Amino acid sequence: MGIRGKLLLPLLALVIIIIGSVEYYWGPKFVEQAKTQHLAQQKIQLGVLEIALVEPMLNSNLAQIHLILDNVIAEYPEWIQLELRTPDHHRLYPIDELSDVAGSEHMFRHTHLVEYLDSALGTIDLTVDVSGFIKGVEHQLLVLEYLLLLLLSLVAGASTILQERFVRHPMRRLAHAASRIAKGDFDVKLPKPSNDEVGQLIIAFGDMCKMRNSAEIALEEMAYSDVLTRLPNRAMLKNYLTKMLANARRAERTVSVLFIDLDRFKVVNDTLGHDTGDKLLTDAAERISSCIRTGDLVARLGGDEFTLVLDEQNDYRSSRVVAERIVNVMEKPFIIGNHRLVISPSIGISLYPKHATDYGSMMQCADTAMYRAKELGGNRYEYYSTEMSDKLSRHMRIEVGLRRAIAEEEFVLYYQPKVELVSGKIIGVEALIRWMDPEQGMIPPDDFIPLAEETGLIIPIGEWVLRKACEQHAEWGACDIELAINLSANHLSDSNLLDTLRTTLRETGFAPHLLELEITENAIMQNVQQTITILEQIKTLGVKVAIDDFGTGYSSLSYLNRYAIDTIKIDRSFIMDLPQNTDALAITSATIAMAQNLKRRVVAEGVETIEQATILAELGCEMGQGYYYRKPMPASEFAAILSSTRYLPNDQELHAGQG
Amino acid sequence: MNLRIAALLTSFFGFFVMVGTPAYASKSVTYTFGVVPQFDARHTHRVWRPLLTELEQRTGLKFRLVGSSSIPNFESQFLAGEFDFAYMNPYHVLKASMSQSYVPLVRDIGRSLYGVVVVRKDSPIRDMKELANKLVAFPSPNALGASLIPRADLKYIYGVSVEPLYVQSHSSVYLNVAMGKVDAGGGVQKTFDQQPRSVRDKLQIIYETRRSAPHPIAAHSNVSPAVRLSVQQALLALGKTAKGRDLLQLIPIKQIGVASMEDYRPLGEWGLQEFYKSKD
Repeated sequence: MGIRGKLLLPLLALVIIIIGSVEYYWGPKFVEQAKTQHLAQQKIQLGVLEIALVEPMLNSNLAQIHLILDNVIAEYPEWIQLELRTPDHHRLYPIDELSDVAGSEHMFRHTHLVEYLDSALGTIDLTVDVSGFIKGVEHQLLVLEYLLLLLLSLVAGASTILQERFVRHPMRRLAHAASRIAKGDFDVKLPKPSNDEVGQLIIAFGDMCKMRNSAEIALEEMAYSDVLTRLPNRAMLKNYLTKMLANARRAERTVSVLFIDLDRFKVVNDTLGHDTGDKLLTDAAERISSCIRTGDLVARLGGDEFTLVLDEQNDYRSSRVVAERIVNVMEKPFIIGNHRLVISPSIGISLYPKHATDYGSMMQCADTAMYRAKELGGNRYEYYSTEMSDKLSRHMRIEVGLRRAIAEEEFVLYYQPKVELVSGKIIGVEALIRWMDPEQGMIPPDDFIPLAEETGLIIPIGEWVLRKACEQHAEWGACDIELAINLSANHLSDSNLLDTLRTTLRETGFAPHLLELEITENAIMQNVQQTITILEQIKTLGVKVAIDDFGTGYSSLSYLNRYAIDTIKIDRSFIMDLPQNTDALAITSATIAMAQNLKRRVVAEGVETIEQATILAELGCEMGQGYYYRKPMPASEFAAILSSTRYLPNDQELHAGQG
Repeated sequence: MNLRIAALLTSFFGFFVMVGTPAYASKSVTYTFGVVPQFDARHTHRVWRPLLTELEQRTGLKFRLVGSSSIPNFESQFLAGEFDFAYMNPYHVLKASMSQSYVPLVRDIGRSLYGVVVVRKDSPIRDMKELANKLVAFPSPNALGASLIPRADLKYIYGVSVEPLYVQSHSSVYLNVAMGKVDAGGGVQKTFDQQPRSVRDKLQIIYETRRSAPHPIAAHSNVSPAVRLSVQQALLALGKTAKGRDLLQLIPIKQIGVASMEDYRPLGEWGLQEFYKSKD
């Protein structure tokens, strides 16, 4: 039941109560009272009549008596019979004897004595019929009831109209607005608030909507903008670009996407800290934003990557102009704290509809073009072209494959023994990774390790190698064989390296003094101070460290002493020229001598002939490694060698060689 | 309704209010005109004022109608000579002539004045003699036709005396008789004829009295003979016009003619004085 019903119901009850009480209680009571009053009034009238009759009665003036009474009877229709008699019952009025009248319930009889100076002159007998009077009173009551009903109907009508106007209509609109808001549509029009309780409700409702609305907007902003730069984020970019492309399709316009990566930003972030990095990003974001027109979009996708969406003219000029402008504004150094930082952008540009037609491909094309710009040295922009895609797709395939390889354990370890040159005894083994791609077969490390380093995948790969090698080593049961594992430069800057080592050693039960980590000379020289620290920490675990490929880099010999290094591995490029190349011989000889002075062990890589092995042994090199002894081999094969003999080349081979 | 009762009371017990200043002494151009109050003041005025206006036009005189609240008052007024002209009953003419000498000018010569005696139709009384010591109603002691003449006749012609009951009016007489309150009543033919049928049908006239000349219009002897003559001539002339006859009919004068003191002389010899009640 609505408000109207609820309000009308008591009104209806009131009507019933009023009508009922008037009809059955007040009405009869009122009629009875009126009748009593009326009869009392007739007694008064009889009193007045008595006074008028005294003198004519004293004078026996019958004519006068008759005149008075005739007039009175004519005056009062209710007085249907009046008789005046003397005390001795002689009739004075009327002339003729009265006939009986039919009785009715509203017939009454008054008897009134006419007196003069304490003596009775006569008696008036009056018969009245008040049915007319009562009918009149009842009629009045009926009219009153009708008036009451009419009044109540008017009140009900007016109340309904007023309710409709001031309560129900605004309430319905409010309810409608509320249901729309419940469906998430905040753009609703509220009724104009009146100066009453309903108005207060409307105002309160409006306030609530505003609060809700601003809360929604704030949430939307958070969801769609980048916290650091307040620029739109990837989600909003996707939304926007998708719409732009749809519009462009309809309006046959063109759109360009600019993918910006800041060259060398990572270095700043790593060396000067995140605060400086963040400041640099916000400043860069400001500069980039200053290069575009209103209506174009700048978004930050995370890291140092920015994306621009431009509404293009058909000649693709906008993208060129904006890209040039960005390159220009970035030339000026960024002053952050005490640092003057020079950052250059690499910009890749994709065009709709020339290069791609959907969000994903537009982004991929711009990304590809950006990589190309980076390859070309950065601080430039490149438009996408299909050949970039061909080149990159192999790159991409490997990256995707690497991730799968980690997950699916497509890697295998090959082992190459290290041999004591004097005795030919196997004293160590180097674990080397191989990738058995199910489709492409064996992929050499040179083809995927640089990519793994670039993508950071080298870290999980390195962990896998360490763990796998330790496990396999345990299976061989040759507990005094040293195990060598390669680390890349990435590993040295991995803060988790020590934890990983510790955990793996503990979990596999591997003896730390049997483990040797091989690090290339180039990796070691990249960050001297950091490397020194890391190597010392590794030493505390009891793990050995070797410099790999020694002689290829530009290491200062003086540094060698400062590094906690156990072993120097002379690069194969020197060994393979032995013994004919004298320069190689001199370098090899000097290196071995220096290592001996510094009390470092020396391993010669790439030993392929017995002559090389003999010379190296004569020069004082302790160990050798190479095809002369064995190529890298699967774990099972190496296990087989270990189980038969620990000397290489084995008897068979020696015999063959001698033979 | 109480107001109406009050109005009733006023009309039946109130005084006839028609008070004028006695004009005799002034002798101005305006002459006073008295009328015996047989009817109520309004009726008197309604009948006489148009007649006097007509008379004023015919004579160039001015007349002021002077009211009297009752017949006894009227009697003391004319006995004091307060009226220049007056319409009075014949016995009044006789009474006045004793002190003030009013001169009759005109009278109705088409009718004569006499009384009647009525009884109930079912009454055993059929003769005047049977009324001896009976209760008989009369309007008032000095009513000429209804009281004085019948009582004189009862005594001097039939030699009986009756118990009189004065009941204020002719109608009252007839009602008292009709309702058996009295044995008989005295009235005049004209008022008897005016009674409602319901009353009249219950009554029977058993006697008509001796006859006299009816009411004259008389002039005070102080009024100059020329004025008296001019008024008499004007009234007689009025009787010759239709309009005048209509006015006179209301008085009522059926046929106007000259009146003389001789017309009323016999009345003085009927012994009315014995029954006349002078005002104290």
